[in-house]
Amino acid sequence: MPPRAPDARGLVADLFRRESGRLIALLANRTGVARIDMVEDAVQDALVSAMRNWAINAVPANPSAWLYTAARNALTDKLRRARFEVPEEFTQERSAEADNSFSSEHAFNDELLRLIAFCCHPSLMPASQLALTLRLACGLSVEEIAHALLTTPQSITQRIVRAKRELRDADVTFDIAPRELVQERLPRILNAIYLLFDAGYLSPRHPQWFRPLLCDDALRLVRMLAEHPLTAEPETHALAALLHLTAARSPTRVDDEGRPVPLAKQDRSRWNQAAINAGMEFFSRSIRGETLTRYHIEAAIATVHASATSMETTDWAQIVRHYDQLCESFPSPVATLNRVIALRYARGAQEALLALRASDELHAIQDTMVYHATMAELHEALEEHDQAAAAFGAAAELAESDTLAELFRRRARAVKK
Amino acid sequence: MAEYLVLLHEDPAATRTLSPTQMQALIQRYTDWIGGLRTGGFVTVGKKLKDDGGRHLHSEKGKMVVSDGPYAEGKDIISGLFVVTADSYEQAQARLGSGPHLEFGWIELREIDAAPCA
Repeated sequence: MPPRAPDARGLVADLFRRESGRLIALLANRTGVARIDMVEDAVQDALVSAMRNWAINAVPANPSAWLYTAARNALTDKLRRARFEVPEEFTQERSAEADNSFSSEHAFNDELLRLIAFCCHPSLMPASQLALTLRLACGLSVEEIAHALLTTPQSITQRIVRAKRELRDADVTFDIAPRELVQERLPRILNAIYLLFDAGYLSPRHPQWFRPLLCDDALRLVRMLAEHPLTAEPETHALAALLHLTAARSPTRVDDEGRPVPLAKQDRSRWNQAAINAGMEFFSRSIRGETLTRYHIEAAIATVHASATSMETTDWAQIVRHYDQLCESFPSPVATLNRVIALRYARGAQEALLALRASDELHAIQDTMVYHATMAELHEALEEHDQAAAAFGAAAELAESDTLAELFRRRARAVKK
Repeated sequence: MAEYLVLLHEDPAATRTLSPTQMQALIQRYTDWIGGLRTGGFVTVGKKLKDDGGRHLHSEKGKMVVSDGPYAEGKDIISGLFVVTADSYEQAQARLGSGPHLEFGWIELREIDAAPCA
């Protein structure tokens, strides 16, 4: 994927957020788990300092180097005042600013990986792993995380404080044996990245239903993992494939009024071909071994869509077969619902509707927007107008985004005519 | 035409809780504001002060006593200073216009006394 172009002042979009994660990773690794709060504060100090300084004195030639120096100095100061040990390299390093080649883009992948592995420690609940990863590694504020995970900032703060305390009490460090990293930690890291992408790709209950920046973060992290020798496993490649192939459709997902464009109406010529190529490449790497994860199956489905030029020429039968496997090996309500949708295109709306009604698995999501929206579409395809209108109405009620609610209300009105 | 000293006062706590994304966006707003002032030719001096509290010099029993100025713990610190040209306070106020600073602090505006005694 091409990097984002810098804005008029030379600052790459998201620079502060990304640097926040990298700097926390680097400095925390050097000073240890016990100092992580101090590191967070120092990095925040550096960003605030940059904000004030660059506005009046202009953006420096090497923003990353400037930020690193500022954060390192702030941390050294704090460590000294608290009479803690200062890592030798902090005082011995010459100013990174003077080093024009300094770039944190690739320098800190090891540290970032160790930081994420730390955040995804098995003793923490997945929700805590995700919150901690988003805060420390992705540079999201507590408010931004709360928004993404549909909870309150207080709840996130508590989760993070508790998580850090648990990890400190358990004497967890950043050191992690490669074997442990791959076998135990990697699945959780990948899960956190999957959830991050999901939160950005489609949030039916969020005011902003599509947030590309969160998807970008997930892509960046999974790419880093796919390229790192320790984590370049088939499972990682499968997730990388899935996320790239899915993200490839982003340019066509939103219309001029901010409303979602269904797959059937997307202009496939505007799909991001570079992302599709990357996704296909990751996919072929992922199937070299014998591992089969849910990401493999979901990625396989994505490859079928990516190779098709239209809904009509899509191999829906194959997609249904993939969903059969997904529902059997990795059952979930969402998988079942997606299978129903594929079934409609493969074998017709009648059979899909029967499957929708007959499934026990779907009970868990009967009160969700996507469930009613799916039901509405099936009724509409069968020209059962009253039921379709009712279901679109129910979907509108359950949508927490004004855009989506309005969309479903319009479809309810349209189907009644 | 007179010169006016512009002191940017702020409460460090006001900006500490911003997210990295919000901070980056703020750079843009400050840059636009200050850029506008400079393009208009109004700014003769524009400096940012270091975020370190500086030093306070006092006299105690005839000797100079030096102490560290407060920074992070301070409630009202000066973060930057400008000297702008204008014909009156009103014009200076208008030129300072609508930057982002007042959302996070306040501005002290003082006319520089250049008139010689008659």
